[in-house]
Amino acid sequence: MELKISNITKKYGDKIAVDNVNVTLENGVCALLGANGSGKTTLMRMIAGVLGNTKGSISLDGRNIEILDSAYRNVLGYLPQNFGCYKDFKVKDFLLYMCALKGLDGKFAKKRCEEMLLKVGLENVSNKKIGALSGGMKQRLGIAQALLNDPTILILDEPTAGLDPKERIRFRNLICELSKDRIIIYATHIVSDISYIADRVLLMKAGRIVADGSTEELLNIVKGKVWSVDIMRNELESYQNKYSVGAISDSKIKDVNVRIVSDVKPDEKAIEALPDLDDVYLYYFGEVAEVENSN
Amino acid sequence: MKTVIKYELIKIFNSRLASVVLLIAFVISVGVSGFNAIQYKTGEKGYYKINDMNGNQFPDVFVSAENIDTLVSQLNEFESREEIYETDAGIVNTYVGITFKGKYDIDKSALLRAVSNGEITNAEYHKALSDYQSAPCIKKEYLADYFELYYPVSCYSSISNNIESTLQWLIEDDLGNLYETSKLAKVIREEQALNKGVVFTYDYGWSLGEEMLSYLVPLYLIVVVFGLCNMFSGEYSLGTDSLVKSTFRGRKKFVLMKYSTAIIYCFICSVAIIVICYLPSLVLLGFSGYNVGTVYTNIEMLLLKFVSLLIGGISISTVVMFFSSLFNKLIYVLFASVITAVIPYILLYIPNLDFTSQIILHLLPFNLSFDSYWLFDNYISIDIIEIFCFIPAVVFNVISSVTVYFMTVKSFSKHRIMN
Ligand SMILES: Nc1ncnc2c1ncn2[C@@H]1O[C@H](COP(=O)(O)OP(=O)(O)OP(=O)(O)O)[C@@H](O)[C@H]1O
Ligand SMILES: [Mg+2]
Repeated sequence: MELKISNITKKYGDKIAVDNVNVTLENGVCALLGANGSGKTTLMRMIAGVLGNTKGSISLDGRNIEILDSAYRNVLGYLPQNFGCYKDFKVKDFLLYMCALKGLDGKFAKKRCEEMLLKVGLENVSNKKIGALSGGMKQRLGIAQALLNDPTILILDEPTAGLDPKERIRFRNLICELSKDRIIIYATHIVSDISYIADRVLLMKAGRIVADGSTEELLNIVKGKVWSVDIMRNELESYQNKYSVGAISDSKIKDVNVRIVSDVKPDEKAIEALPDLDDVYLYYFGEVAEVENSN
Repeated sequence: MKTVIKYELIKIFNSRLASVVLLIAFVISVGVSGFNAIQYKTGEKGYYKINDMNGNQFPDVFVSAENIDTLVSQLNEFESREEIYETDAGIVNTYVGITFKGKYDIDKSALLRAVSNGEITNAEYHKALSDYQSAPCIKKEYLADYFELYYPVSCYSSISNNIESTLQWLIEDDLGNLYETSKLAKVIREEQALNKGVVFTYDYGWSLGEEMLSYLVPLYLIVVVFGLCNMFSGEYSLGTDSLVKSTFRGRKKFVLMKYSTAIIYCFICSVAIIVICYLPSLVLLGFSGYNVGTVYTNIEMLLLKFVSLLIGGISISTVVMFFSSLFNKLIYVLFASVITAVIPYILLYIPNLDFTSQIILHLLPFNLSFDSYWLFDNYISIDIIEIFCFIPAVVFNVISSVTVYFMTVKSFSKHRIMN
C-alpha cells in the first residue's frame, strides 16, 4: 500500500499552513514531528479528507482519494487533535454510534466495540457517561474509536496527549502491534513517544518537511553536533543566547552541565555526546524558539 | 442507518436546551388543553353544560334539501310551546351566555340603533341586555329535544346562506381568476353535499380538540426549532464534525441521516401535539359525532391537521438545519430561523395581496403549519381523501427541501474545522 502526497499546499487566507509537501508513505509508523503551528494538524486533516487543500493531490495506490471517496474512508481511522465527543453519551453508545457511521452494524459492531474497549483498557467504564471520564480516558476512547473499522490507514494527531506513563507504554505497544501491515501517521511533539516505534520520521517546520528519514538517518544528521559542556550558572544565559541548549543537569565539576546542539564546538572543554531524537528536534527547532520569543 | 438515526434522536433529547423547551412545551400544552376541556365539561365555558342534556346522548340528525322544511316547521312548532321555557329566574341566571334561541330573544342590533337614535338611554339599553340574560330559557328536560331540532336547522341555514352569498358575489364580481374558480368549486361541492344530506351531531370533543390545536401550533413550531437548532452547530461546538466527516458514511450521508432524524422528530412532535390537544377533549367531552362540516369528517380533519403539521414542521426543520450548518453559535441559528419563519407570516397581513402571492406565502414553512386557511378556504376545497389538495404543498416542499439539503451538505463540508 502506498499513500502518495503530491505538492500539497494549504493556505488560510494569506497564511500558508502547509507548503508544497511531497511524501510517499508506506506501511509502518511514520511520525510527524514539529513545533506548535508547524502545520502537522493541517496536513493530517487533508490526509484524513476532512479538509480541502489549496493545491496538490493525495492518492492511495495511484487513485485519488477524492475519487475513492467512501472506499478511502472505509480504510481510514482518524483521531483528531483535541478529540471531541458527545458528553452525554455512554462510552459504549458512543462507540456503537461511531460503528454505525463507519458502516458496521449489529452483532459485529458490538463485538468490535468490546474488543476495542479491552484494547485501550476502558472495559470497566463502558457504561459511564463520557462527560464523567478523565482526560486520559477520553483520549483512549478516541484511540478505540479510530480502530473500530480495523483501518489500514491510521491517522493519529497527538494521541498520547494526557496519557499517564503506564498508558503511554500500553499505547506504544499497541501501535507496534498494529504497525505491521498498515500505514500509521502519528503527529506529536513528544520525541520520546516515537523514538522506539517510528519507522520513519518527518520533521515539519513552517509547513514544510525539513527532514525525512529513519531514526538512525536523522541521528546521523546531528552526529558530531551534540556537545556536553560544564559551565558556571552565570554563563548559562550567554550560552542560551548563542546556542540551542538542550537538557540542563547538575554537574560534578562546575555548576551545571548543558547539552548543546551546534555545528561548531561551543567550548574548548566541550565533549561530543551521543545524539538522540531530542537533539535532532533541537537542531531544527532550536532557533525557531528564539525567533518566536524575540517577536 | 437505523442505529445512527436512533443516536441522533438521543442527541436531540440529551440536549439541555431542547429538553427544557420540550418539557415547558409539554407542561403548557397539557395544562392548557386539559384545563380548557375541564372548563367545557363543567360548563364554565361553552354554550351549555353536558349535564344539562340530562345525560342524554345527543342523537345524530340527518338534514338534506328534502327534510329541511319539515325540520323548520317542527322547530317552529316546538318553540311556540309555552311549557318548554324556564321561568324560574334563579335557574335561568346560571344559563348566562346560552345561545339557543330563547322565547324572549332580543334583537341586539335594533337595540343599538335605538340607542344611537336617542330613542332609549344608555341605561335602558344595558337594562334590556341584562334582562335578556335572565330571560327564560329552555327547561332542562326539553333541552335535548330542542337541540335536536335547533342545531341542524341553524347549521343548515348558515351554510346555505353562505353558499348563496358567495354565489351572488361570484356572479357580480365575475373575474374568473384562479381564486374565484376554486371558490366556485367549493361552493358547488357544498351545495351538492347539502342536497344529498349531511349528518349533524354533537361534536364538542372533536371541535374543541381542533380549536386547541390551532392555538398550540406555534408551540409545536418552537419545539421543532429548538429541538433541531443544535443539529450541526452542536457538532461544531463539540468538535465532532471532523470525526464524523472522516467516517465511511461521509458528509452527504451524514446530512441525509440528520434530515431523516428531523423528519422522525417532526413526526413524533406532531403526533404528540395532536394527542395532547385531542385526547383531553375527547375523553372529557366524548368521541361521538362526525361529519359536522359538509366537506370532511372529523377523522379526515384530524388527518389533515396532522399532515399539515408534519409537512410544515419538516419544511421548517430543513431551514433550521441549514442555518445550523452555517453557524457555530446557537443564538445565530435561532435568530435566523425565527426571522425566516416569521417574515412570511407577517407578510400575509399586507392588504390586497393577490391570490398567487397569497398561495406562495402560505406554502412557506411557518404558514404551512397553519393548514386550513389556504387548503380549504382560499384554495381548494375538496375531500382530503382526494389527495390533490396536498400536491402543491408536497411538491413545493420536496423541491425546497432537496435544494436546502444540498445547500446544507455544502455548508457542512465547507465549515471550518476547529479542533
Ligand atoms: N482554521 C484555521 N484558520 C486559520 N489558520 C489556521 C487554522 N488552522 C490552523 N491555522 C494556522 O495554520 C498553522 C498550522 O497549524 P496546525 O494546527 O496545522 O499546526 P500544528 O503543527 O498541528 O500545531 P500544534 O502542535 O500546536 O498542534 C498555524 O499557524 C495555525 O495558526
Ligand atoms: Mg496540531
